[in-house]
Amino acid sequence: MAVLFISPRALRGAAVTIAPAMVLAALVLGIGVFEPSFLSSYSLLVLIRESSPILLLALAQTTVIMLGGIDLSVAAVASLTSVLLALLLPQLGVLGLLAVLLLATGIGAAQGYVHVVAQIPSFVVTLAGMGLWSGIALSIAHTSIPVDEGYAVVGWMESTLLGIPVCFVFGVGGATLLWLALRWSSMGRYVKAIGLGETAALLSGVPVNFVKVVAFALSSLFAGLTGMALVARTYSGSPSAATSLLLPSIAAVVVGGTAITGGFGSYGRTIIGVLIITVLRVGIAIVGVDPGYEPLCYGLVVVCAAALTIDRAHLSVVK
Amino acid sequence: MAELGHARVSPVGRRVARREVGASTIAATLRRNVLAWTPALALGVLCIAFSIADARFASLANIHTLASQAALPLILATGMTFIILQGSIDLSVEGVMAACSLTFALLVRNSRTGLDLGVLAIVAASLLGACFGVANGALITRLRVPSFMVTLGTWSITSGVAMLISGGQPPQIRDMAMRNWALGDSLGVPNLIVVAIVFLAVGYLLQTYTRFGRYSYIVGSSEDIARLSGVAVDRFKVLAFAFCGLSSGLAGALESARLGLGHVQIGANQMFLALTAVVIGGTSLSGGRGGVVQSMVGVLILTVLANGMIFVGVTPYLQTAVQGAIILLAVIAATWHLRGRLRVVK
Amino acid sequence: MTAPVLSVNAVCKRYPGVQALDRVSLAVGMNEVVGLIGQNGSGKSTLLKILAGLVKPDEGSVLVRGRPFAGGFAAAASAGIGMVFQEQSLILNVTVAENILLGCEGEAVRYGFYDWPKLRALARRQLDKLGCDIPPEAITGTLSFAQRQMVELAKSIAVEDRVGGDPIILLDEPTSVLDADDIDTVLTQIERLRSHAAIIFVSHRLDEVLRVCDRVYVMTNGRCVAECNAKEANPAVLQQLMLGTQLIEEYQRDGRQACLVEEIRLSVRNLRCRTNYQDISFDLHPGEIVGFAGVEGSGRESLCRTIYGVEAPTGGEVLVDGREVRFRGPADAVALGIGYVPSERRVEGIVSGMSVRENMTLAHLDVVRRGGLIDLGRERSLVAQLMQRMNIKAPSPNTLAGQLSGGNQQKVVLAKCLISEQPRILILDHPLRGLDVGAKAEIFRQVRELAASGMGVLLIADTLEELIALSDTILVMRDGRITARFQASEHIPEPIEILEHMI
Repeated sequence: MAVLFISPRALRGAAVTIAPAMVLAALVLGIGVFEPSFLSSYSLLVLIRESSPILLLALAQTTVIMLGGIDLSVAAVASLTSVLLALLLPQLGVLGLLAVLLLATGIGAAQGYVHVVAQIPSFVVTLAGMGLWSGIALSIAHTSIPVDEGYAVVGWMESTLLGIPVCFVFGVGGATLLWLALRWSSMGRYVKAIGLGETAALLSGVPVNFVKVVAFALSSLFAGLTGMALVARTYSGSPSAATSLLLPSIAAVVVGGTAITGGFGSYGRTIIGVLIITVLRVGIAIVGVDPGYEPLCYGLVVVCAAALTIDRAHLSVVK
Repeated sequence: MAELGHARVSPVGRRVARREVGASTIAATLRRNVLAWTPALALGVLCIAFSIADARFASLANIHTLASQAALPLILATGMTFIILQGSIDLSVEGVMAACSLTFALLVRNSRTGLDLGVLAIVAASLLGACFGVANGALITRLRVPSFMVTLGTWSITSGVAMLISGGQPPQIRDMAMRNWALGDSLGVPNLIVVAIVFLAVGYLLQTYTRFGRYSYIVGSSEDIARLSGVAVDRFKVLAFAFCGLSSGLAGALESARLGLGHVQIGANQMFLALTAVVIGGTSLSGGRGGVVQSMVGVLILTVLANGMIFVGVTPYLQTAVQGAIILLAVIAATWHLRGRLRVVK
Repeated sequence: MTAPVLSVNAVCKRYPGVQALDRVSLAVGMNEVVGLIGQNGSGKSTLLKILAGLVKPDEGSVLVRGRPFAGGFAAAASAGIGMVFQEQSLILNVTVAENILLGCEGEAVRYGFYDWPKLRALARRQLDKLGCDIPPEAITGTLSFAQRQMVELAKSIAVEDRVGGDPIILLDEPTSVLDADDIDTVLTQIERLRSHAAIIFVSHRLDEVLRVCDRVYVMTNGRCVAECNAKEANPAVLQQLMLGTQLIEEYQRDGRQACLVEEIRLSVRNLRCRTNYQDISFDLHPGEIVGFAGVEGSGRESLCRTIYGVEAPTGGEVLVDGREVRFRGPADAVALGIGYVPSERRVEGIVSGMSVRENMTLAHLDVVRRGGLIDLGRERSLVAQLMQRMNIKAPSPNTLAGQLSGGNQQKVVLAKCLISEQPRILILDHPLRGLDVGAKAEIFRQVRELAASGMGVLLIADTLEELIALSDTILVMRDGRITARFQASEHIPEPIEILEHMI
């Protein structure tokens, strides 16, 4: 029987996990006070449904951020995916879906590969990728493309399971799978080691390059799934479908408690972060203030959360 | 585009490979010179190629168009140069442009307010941009959060501010003198490019003759050494962000004057463009190398590329894709020789 | 000697586990060149850092021109102390003039604007003091290494104008990477400098020290053990003094005759890596401990890192068990059963934010994996076994590795290499650095046991005593080449014999 031992890490982990949850609770209650109908099960379900695309996008980011990098291209990949799906679903159906998801994964793997082989910072590679994929999406489809035939392939995401939106269940399911994979496989250890001490990990023989490529591939795969969810939601694919979701996705990861310096974090925290972000967004609409406050809040949240969670010992020189 | 392979030295005695690849070897000198001239060469090749492909490219009318197209990116790139020289980055350019554009639109004779400040409005908008820049710099140096994270956040914050000012109704500019000036020429040269060139000259003076400029190079090369020599590094970082904010504000105001309204999307894709221009011009992302003249070459390359692509029949929608590919290739080329098995790049 | 311009009085400095400086006193007078010699780890670098204001002493005082010196880099500069570091501290992309006057441009920069001609003139003045003809407007990166060393010297002299008195210049191994002609130039400059400065010259090269210095201090194990006049000094005596007489019980050889097996575990042939080392050839047998002696810059660290796959060699070959190997990275070496204990424990050895258990299994997760998944139970039992065997003291296996003491951290790193079934080669890079006596003795013993059980060990030790006590074969390296080989079975060398070939 293992002795229950509360290590300092567990303590800090607990604090970082609890704080966002408490913030979430405070926000929900606060808005509920202002507008009691917000607390009804109907509107909470709407909230959950709203959060699903950002959830998938934030999950995409989480693995990369745990390594200490960042993926700025997820929104562009999601948009590109939505455009390709809109084009291919009518003719190819499920095969089209699989092909597009495979392509998304390939894109991520390619970005990861360039990152590790050329040793270019992840934010540069993914910034370039953002330009590349959104440019390609724009040149394929100048505006949104409606989807009627073949919609059924993705339409199930918009249905509900026992009243809960399937897309959210899908997201949580994805998070669970990722969590399981990382907890029980070597990959999880490697990700943690790389995030917390990449030099020591390298010298211990950890296959750092491989892990990074996998992380970026996973990231783009989830971005592809986001594109799929967006097609289901809007009945169309558009080259700017996910553009406005990039910053909220990063904000969600950071506010959930995952430090951008890497090492600490989990998918569960991302889920809470996503809920906080969504509550903020919905709350702003409910309280009735100018929609301009939405990006303002996201920005403030990102800066504050980053400042609080960053591990300054890791950054000798702040650039 | 080259970076000398100097080890990151720290006077507190970290063990690094002591015999560096001799900086004065023939190979290194050759590489240095070749890479310094590559952007200019590339520009020349592009101009020639496009002229051959379509003679209209080299016509006076098109050169006029090129000049007006290059004006605002040039201003932005000049401001961005100092940030990149220091090894930081400013992602908030578009948001600052938007906020300043709306402020400007509300300060000149317009459809919403009763103000009519004319040229003063440009100054005011630029100063507002500088204030945003100071805020950026302060957050980065006080909170000690990396610049890309802070400016990612302030991008959103300033966009929000812009949306709040706009209130869903872009203010129309009614000051016709201002509009005509922005769209017009003096002696056949677009007015905006004149402003841009003056701004570039200011940037050059700063870079060569002021402490801010010279110390930007030093901070970018090695912040440790700078601090140990008593340099007030934080102050210069804030100054760099202030200057970049100033350039964003100026660009936002001028674009508004040209378009005739203040708009929240006025800065769309401009950050990417400016960043790409600075990098392919030869200013290295890790800091310490480059300058505003190099950035100008970068701006010209991108402007010529965008302009020429239309003549050749390439869809303009591919612009960002081409820029993305270019920035990737440029950074790869610049840092290829720095690769090492134990090198940690996040 | 006139009144000392710099005097150090009974200065002590302690780092965790090690007494870096133990009541060190010395004095330097104006226009005097004082030499400071000693082995790696003798404390001379720490002393210099204290004088340059980078580190504060725990006890004792430093007086500059009769006034107490509180420390701090800026204070050092305003007190007229300039230091030339071992690694160059120049900014390569700006001009020589800017480097020389960095932070103290004075009247050459008014209201933030540069007066270039004036800046160049000021820099020229400093360069002239050295008799140097480097143009101040040259971009520093275009100069040769030796020229940059001159610029460094000029930079440290520039401090003189801040103080209005004669500066005190600290030179930390200024010649150790220069070739003969350049060394001559630098030494001549130092001679010229003497007329308006007080100089402390640190080097491990006795001949140079004796050439330029007036007096020489010898440091060993953090103590200043001797002071003598350079003219009257006997190099042999000085070398002996450098070694000290500390012999710990545990450092005695255990009389074991290393019976070398025929089989060769690792073979290195004509290995070369750029300018780090050339033409290295040696064999490692199972059960043998091969120790490398050499000062910093001799190439021994680079050699070991190459064998582990961290750096790629530019020529020659490495054979493991008779088969040639080309490692693309440490992962390949780990797969072949090579373990590495790095010198920078906190950054390269352990992942501070992970637990002891996670650290130990990091290199060989396949050992605790079953069917693709980590078997936590098996991991726990393996880790517990190893912790006991190696006597790792930690509150629990889940404690963060960063919270353990240095000695225990080192044991964790060692355990990480050992957790796989058949580690075959172990590379130890300064394994005893920064450990207290007890921890040293334990690791000492464990390394011996590991060798006895058939592992081949490559060792880079901090001190010659450790090296001699542990190694079966000693290879002495200097400037990238092997200058001497000693076989313990034939003749156990005295430290002095090794030192001769090292410096």
